[in-house]
Amino acid sequence: MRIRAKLISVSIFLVLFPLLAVAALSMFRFGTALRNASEEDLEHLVRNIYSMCKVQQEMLQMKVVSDLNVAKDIMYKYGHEVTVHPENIISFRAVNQSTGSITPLKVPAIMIGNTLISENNIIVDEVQRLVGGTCTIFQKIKGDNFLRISTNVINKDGERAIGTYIPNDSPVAQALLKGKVYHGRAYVVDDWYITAYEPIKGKNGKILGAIYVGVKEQSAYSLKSEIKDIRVGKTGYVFIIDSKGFLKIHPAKEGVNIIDSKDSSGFEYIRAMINKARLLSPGEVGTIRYPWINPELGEKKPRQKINKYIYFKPWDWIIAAGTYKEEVYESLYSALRFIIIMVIIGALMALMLTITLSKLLTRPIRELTEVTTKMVDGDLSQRVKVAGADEIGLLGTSFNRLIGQIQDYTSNLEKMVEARTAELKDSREKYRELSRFLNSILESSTEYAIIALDHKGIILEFNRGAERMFGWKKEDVVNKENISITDTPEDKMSDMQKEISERTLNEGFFDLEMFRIRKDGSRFPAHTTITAIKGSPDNETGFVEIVRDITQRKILERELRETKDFLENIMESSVDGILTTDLKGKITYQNRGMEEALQIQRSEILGTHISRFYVRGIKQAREIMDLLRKRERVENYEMEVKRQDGTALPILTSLFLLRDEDGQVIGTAGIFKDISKQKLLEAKLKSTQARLVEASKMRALGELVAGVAHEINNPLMASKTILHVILKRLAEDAPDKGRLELIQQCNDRIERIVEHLREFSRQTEPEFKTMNINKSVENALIITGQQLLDHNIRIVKNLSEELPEILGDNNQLEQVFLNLISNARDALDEKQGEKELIISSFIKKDDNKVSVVVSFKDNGIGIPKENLDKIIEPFFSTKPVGKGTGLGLSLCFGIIESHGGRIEIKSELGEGTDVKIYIPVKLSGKEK
Amino acid sequence: MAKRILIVDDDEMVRIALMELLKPEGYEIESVGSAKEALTKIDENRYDLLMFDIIMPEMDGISLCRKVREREDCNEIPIVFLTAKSSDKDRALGIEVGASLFLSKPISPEKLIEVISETLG
Repeated sequence: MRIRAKLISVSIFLVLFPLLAVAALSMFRFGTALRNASEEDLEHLVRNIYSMCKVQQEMLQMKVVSDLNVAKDIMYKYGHEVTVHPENIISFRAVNQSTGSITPLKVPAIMIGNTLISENNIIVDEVQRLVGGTCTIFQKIKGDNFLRISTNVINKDGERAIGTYIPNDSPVAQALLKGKVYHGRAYVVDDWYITAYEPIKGKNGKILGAIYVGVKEQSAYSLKSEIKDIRVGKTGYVFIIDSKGFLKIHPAKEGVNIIDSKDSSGFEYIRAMINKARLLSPGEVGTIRYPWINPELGEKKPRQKINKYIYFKPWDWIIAAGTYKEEVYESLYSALRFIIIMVIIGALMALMLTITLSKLLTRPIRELTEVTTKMVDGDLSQRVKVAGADEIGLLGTSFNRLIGQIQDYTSNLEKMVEARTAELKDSREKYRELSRFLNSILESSTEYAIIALDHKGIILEFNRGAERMFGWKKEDVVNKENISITDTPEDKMSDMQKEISERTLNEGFFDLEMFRIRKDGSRFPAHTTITAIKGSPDNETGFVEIVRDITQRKILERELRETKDFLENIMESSVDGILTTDLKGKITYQNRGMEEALQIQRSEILGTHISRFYVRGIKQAREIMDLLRKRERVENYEMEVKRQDGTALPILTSLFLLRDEDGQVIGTAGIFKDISKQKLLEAKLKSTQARLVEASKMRALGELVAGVAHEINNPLMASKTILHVILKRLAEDAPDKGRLELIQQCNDRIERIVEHLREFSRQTEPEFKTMNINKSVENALIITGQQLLDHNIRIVKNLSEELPEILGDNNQLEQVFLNLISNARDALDEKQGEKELIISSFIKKDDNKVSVVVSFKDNGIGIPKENLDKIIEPFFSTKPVGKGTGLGLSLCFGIIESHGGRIEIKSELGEGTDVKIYIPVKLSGKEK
Repeated sequence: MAKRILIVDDDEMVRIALMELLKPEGYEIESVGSAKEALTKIDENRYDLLMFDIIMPEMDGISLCRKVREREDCNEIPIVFLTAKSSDKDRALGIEVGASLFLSKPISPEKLIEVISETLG
């Protein structure tokens, strides 16, 4: 924006804004005041008419009160007492003035003094003559209705309204029946009256009838004509309407019902006004505005009308004054017009003043601008006319000085340019030399294809290497279009070119591997480096491609990959673990077999040290490495490694050193076989073997013993019998009798030993039956119980009642338990203090095998460790000679073994011994 | 008249001892060392009680017992096994082939006397 325009707009803003603000404010304030005043005028008008009506009403009421007094005076002039005369019956056609229903009626006559009142109008007419209103005398009849018997009220037919009656439910009748005077509006026969009723009482105070006077309510004709004459503005007027919509007073349409009138928008404004008016409190003024077309005046456009109204309830009058809004606001509008004209004149004057002033101020600046423009075009001889000593004058002076300096600088600059041009010529020579050097490189590199392209992809340079590689001659491709040396589908060509040029421009060069195409159409993989060359002759960017044929490399790569995959597949599919480490012992590879055996993921293990698997850690790792260095390889070496969870895993391993091409050791490799299952089998086999050996040993021994026992029994029998015969014959005091008895004792001992031997030999022939092992225990206790008590041994029985049945020989098991109890007893006998034998039975489950266990635990002297292994050997005994045969436990082992069970003995010297018998639950006798 | 008992046992010591024991008790005792001899004896004589060992060479006591029981005139003679065998199986077998009693060696002399007198009584 130019300075002048700026100045003008600022001034206009500064002048116009306050002007408009004052105008708007005064219009608003002034308008509101005027508008209020105009509407208040209308309001005063209706309120005045309301007051006039109210005065008229009050006057009429006062008159009725005095009229009633006059009427009473006249009536009582005829006599002091009102009397009823039943002897004189008068007939009426009684008409209910509210409903109009007719009933024939006979009533007694009424008299005052000697004058008959019924159907005699002498009194009422006299009252009318004096006061001007109407007057009636009523007789109270059956049903508390009041019948007109004398009146000058005229009905619609122009006759006196004698025979009509006020029904008992009217407010008038209600007041009279209570003996009260009634004042107020009353509907008399056919019109509204301002009335007064007073009851007529008989001698005894009984209500006989009533006297009435009344003035027609709207009898004030002078009021009406006055109202009609009132004018509002030019065309407005006052009208009065009742609540049913009948015009009571109107300049033209009096008596017409206008309740359904609609304004030009179709709104029933009269009905709305009536409804609102009836809700107003006395003296309150309402307002209604509506659009109106007066067709009588030929109007086409609606004009806004305003009506003020007030409700005079005693007469059911809605007094309304209405006129067109524009008439009300006429003075307001003329004031507004004046203000607007003043504002426009003010604004125009301010504008002219500003334009003149700004022209004056900007002239020197314009001159300065002109001079500067010429100077820029090269004319440095221009100078500014300096006028005045104000700021602009000073600026002119400085400007002239500046131009002088610029003239000096320009001449210096020209000299410098000449010097630089000479230098440039020199460097161009050097550049030519470099270019020749580069060209020779270009041509001599035959292994690489070097191709220069312009930005459109047209080949500019094509070296000998390129000719060899692509089969094209240089002259066939340079500056030719549609030469294809890339194997890219047409549709992807533009995308690829775009990518190449973007990346090359951003990064300076771009490496990629892609298929290229020769002149004969054959493809080959190639490595390409593309470089962007900026600033070629026409200032466009060009590219240089250096292409290398990598067919050979690709073939080698594929072979390598296949070999690698092949080897990896073999290694991965091996069940045995394979693992390699570097020289420091860090794990570099492990196969799946290894993962499974060691239960560890490859990712957790790679790069960690091999010693994590050795039981003896880093020390063991060193030992193995030393061994390897000494022997180059170690085969079938058995050792244990640690699993992830810390458990030991027995393995068989072969290890060897890994060497590179030069024979340098670069690491180790190992193949590991998990032999835990093998080890387990071996252990089982060993124990089975041991048991078999033991069993056959026992069987052989059994047979031997049986034979021996049999052989001994015959001579023993003979010896016993003959000794018996001799002893019988011998006298009591025979010298050798004692000696012979000693032999007899020897025989008894031999017999016992043989008996035991026989039992021992019999163990191979058990008789299996289904049985509860607790029963055998109880049987053994029955036999030994008393004996144990005699030896001060406390017995604790913990026999489980939920034991499953087993297959067993009751007698044999009983024998075993007797033996064990007897051993416990002997062990306890040798001990001082409390003696206790705990016998318990329970179920034990292990290795899918359910066994019934009977345990005999004593707190006796215990068994020395060195004897523990020997106690089951036949004939081993620690008991004194003659007390034990050394066959007891051996017998027990044999029996339990034939039951498929086992005996477990735990003993601590001085603490006691615990013997446990295990009998399997599901063993049948079939094995035997 | 004294009751006649035939003792069959291959062990001479046993035969002597039994004779020494039973003769003073008033029995007429004869004894042989084999089943063959026993059968001849039984053919020739009448005995009130037969006492057999079981384990004997050539023919054992069980077979002997069967042969004797096969003879009609020997149905009622009490046969007692006195043997080094003692198992329930042997005992059952002995009763099965017709023995009245099965005694295991070495039986006490008092007991033997008691049992024989009961059997014969």
